[in-house]
Amino acid sequence: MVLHSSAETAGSSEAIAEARAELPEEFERLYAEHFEFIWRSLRRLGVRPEDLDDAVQDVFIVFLRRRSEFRGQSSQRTWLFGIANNVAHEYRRKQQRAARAEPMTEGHPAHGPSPLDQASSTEALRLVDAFLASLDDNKRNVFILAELEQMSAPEIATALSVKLNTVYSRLRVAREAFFAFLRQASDQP
Amino acid sequence: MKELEERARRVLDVVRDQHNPVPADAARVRAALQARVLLEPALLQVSSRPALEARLLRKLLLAFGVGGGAGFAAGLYVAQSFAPAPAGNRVQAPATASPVVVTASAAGDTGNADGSVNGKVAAPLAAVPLVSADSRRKLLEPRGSAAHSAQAPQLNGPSPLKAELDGLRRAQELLHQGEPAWALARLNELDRAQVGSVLLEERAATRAIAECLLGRDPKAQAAEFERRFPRSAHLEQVRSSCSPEHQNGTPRAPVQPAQTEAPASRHE
Repeated sequence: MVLHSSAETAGSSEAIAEARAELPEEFERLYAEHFEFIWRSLRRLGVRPEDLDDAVQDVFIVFLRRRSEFRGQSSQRTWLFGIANNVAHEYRRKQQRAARAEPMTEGHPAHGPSPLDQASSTEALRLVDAFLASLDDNKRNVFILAELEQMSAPEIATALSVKLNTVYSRLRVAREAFFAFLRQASDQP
Repeated sequence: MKELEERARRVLDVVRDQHNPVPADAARVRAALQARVLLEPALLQVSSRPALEARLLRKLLLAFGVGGGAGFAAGLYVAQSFAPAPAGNRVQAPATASPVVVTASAAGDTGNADGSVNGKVAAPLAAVPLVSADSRRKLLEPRGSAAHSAQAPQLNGPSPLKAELDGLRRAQELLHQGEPAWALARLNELDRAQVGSVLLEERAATRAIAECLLGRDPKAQAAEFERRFPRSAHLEQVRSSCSPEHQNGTPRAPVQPAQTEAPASRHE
């Protein structure tokens, strides 16, 4: 077995085509529509950049496994966020167990020049990342969906399976925390 | 407070699009997803809830039976469905950046002057392992022999060896076409199907070469293969494909195959 003559290799492209034709059209559409959302959500939920590929795969694999359970009571986007949230939680736990994670519970603003003064997007990103890492899961989810994804409160309530008032309450607390975080960052030399 | 709110708004506006992936990320993850679907074709079947639960239970029991505590933990993972897949199941996206070197013989064999097949750069011909003499002997043994009967309980089909051969052949074809990630997916599929182990050495060699072509610690891959199969006829091929020269894009002269005959037809 081995070296394939040209006749033998005739089936090779077929093999690759077969491998590539595995994903149904419905899935392709979903992937194209939501990949970016899932990617950035996982990143904001604290998944390390080096784990993002795997984590995104996991979200879509879970979707494939459970798609028959999707009843259309929420949008696919909010449903996927729910999956992403669980996946991110597992990754954070794994990171913490491995003790080589970025400090998710670190509540300090980014060091160095103030992002507000410098209007540097990179620094702003670091600041927001550090803030998100300082929040507990519940407030982080609401803050991400409301302030970064700009979802409505009812959508968030559906995505997270919580009451509408809970969304408002968590959002208010998270916003206050963000203001305090910014104030602290501005006060740093 | 109002000023602070404005600052907050400004920061959030700046950050809103900062976590977005680049197009290459989407393509890479999509390719890896396809490979994972290859490993688990059942993912594409829409299951009813009872069927889903039955499948999860089966996996749970299997994991507990096979792997003890670790297996049970893995089974729990499956049952929960939300946790990340075990590392062993994870498929790296095909490494588009990993150098796959074309040898003169490979180019000649694939027919294109640049060694490409359908636009893909082919793996070196030397990288495709042969079936060793030992394996050939096992393959040619009568079906009633110990080697065959030992495998029988694992298999449902009438020709387990053919299944193993076909899987290995497909993996090697993919490797040959410069698709080491897909080749690995096929090998993983073979492992999971437990089709037999007559071609264990060949599968290990193919896997080592695929890993090397993906740039995953080639030195360690070659060393591990050598440790497991110190007298293997494929050792030189593995070493060659995992050598720094290969990794740097300047391969040594390809090792010419000692055997070029596919035993499948003889066996079948």
